Amino acid sequence: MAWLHTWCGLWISWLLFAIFLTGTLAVFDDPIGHWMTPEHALEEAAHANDPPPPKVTDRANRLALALDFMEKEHPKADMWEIWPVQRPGQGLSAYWFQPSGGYGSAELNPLTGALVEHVREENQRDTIGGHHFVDFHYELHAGRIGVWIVGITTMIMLVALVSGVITHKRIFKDFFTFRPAKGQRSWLDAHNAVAVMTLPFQFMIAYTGIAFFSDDYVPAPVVAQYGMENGKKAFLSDWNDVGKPARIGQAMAIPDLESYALRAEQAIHQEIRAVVLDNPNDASMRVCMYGWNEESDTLKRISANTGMACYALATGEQIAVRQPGHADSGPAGLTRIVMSNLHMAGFGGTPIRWLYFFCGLAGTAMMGTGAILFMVKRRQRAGGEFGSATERVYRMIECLNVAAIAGLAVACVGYLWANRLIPVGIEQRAGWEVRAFFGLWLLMLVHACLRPEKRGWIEQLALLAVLCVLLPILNVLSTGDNLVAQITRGDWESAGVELCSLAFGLLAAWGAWKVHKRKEKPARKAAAKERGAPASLQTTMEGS
Amino acid sequence: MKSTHMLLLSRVLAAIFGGYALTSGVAVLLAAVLPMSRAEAVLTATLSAFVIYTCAVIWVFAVQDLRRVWMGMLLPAIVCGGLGLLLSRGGA
Repeated sequence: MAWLHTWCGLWISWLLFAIFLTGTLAVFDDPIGHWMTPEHALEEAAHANDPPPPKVTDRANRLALALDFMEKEHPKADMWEIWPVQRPGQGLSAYWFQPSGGYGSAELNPLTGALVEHVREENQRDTIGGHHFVDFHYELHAGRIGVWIVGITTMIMLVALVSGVITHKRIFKDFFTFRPAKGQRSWLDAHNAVAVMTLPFQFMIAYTGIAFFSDDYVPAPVVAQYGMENGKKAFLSDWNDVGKPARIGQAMAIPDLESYALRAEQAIHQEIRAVVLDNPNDASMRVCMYGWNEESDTLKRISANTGMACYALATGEQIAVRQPGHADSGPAGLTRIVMSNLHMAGFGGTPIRWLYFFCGLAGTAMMGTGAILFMVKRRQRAGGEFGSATERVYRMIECLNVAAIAGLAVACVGYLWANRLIPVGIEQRAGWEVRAFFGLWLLMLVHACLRPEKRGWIEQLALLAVLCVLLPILNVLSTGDNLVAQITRGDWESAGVELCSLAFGLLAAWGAWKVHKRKEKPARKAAAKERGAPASLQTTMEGS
Repeated sequence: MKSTHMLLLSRVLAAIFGGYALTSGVAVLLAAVLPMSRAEAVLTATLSAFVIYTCAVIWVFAVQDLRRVWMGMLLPAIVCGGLGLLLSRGGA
């Protein structure tokens, strides 16, 4: 079992470290995106003391304008979706399914119903902001194949977690064990400490993560129940098109939807967010009204489902109602939605986000210490696991450790540097920021392979420290804004990014210094076979 | 390749592919027999799959006898999968 834990853990450690670190940063994807759009942030700050816009009173008119637009532009679409009062901004939007697949969308002027063309402001930098970390985290910026790689890695992580617990026989007795400055023993204690302290979180985050694409990873039951041809489509339709009526083919005019919106608000006690009209202009027309979750809803409830009320327009009767948080279908549907919101920390507000951030860092540390422990141990006494190639494989693992741990962190902060350094107006600017992330990571890999192990760590950690600590200075030089000004005007998102960067920088500097002070113990003779070795030479091992 | 390596490879294959077969078989059975709507049953089956797969892999590495390992993966896979397909509600 220790063998299983070591080898499962090692081979996925580098990729999983990246998935975990980017996932941890993804908790704060919006604040990071806010810091990465300084022009927009400063504009917001300029309007911070403006009085709030008056409450919208012309929703009926907005609905009518949107219906007119859809009638003219997309009369054949069998689903019209209208968001009469967007948040934020109180705009008016319409959505439909394009025949080629995917959502079509249009923003409309709430007073005239005319299409609003989106022109990016010349001076606003194009960026995907913090969503880079989200996209990398679940699909490695690699679409379907990325989703599969992440899924396989997560599955192996589950095995590593269980085998780790089994291996750690004295898990309760050893709970408060930490023996510093004892080399391999200390690394093991650190590995155990961060893992055991956050163990429930680690299991939860891994399982809820892999559950997102459960029907992709395990298609057998879908195929068995729904058939090979279009089975997946039929399964999704069962979920998404619950209660969707079939077209009758008899024409019927769309009645006034505002009265239905008012009825729905009475039924679900939420302000209306979205109006979904199925089979427009047909006698089978159904309208479903969805509500907005307010902050108080997200604080007290894990399920992200909003309230919903559906009406048959031919008769006016209410055909379905769902209270906020409930699931239309049943326990499985509710479980799925709770799992996804558990994973994305979409509940409980800021305190939960910070909890996930620290647990995520602990999980990241769990992987990092594990990978480092593997080599610390084998530099003390080589294991000969790969026969004559062992030394070469060990060298490769050391390079990967430096590049995957220190190198990845450099790439993450380097992404923020790229955001300030890449010229604002250039084509495909957002793509260049992501390329800077990958390019910097690749550079760190090359550096790690060329430098001796100790130098590799020191140099990359030092670089990390410099980039993190100087980030606020970079901001001053590139935008004129500074940390004190951010705090003074209450922009805690930007200030948070810079303060965390400073903290990570100091941590990296401390790490570089510790490696610099590392005393190299003389390695024991490599033990190819343990036969005849006196018992005193064998260290009591809790790992393999 | 050394025989120890072959034995290890066999065990790893049993864990990865045998385990996946067992997981899929059990999921097919669950989807067929759970007293819920078809969509709910299928979702429950897929969500439960990862617990099953994890346990299967752990078991593969806990048991000594390699024959028992392969039997333990393939027999339930075939039995559960076969039963599940027979009981399925007019799908494939």
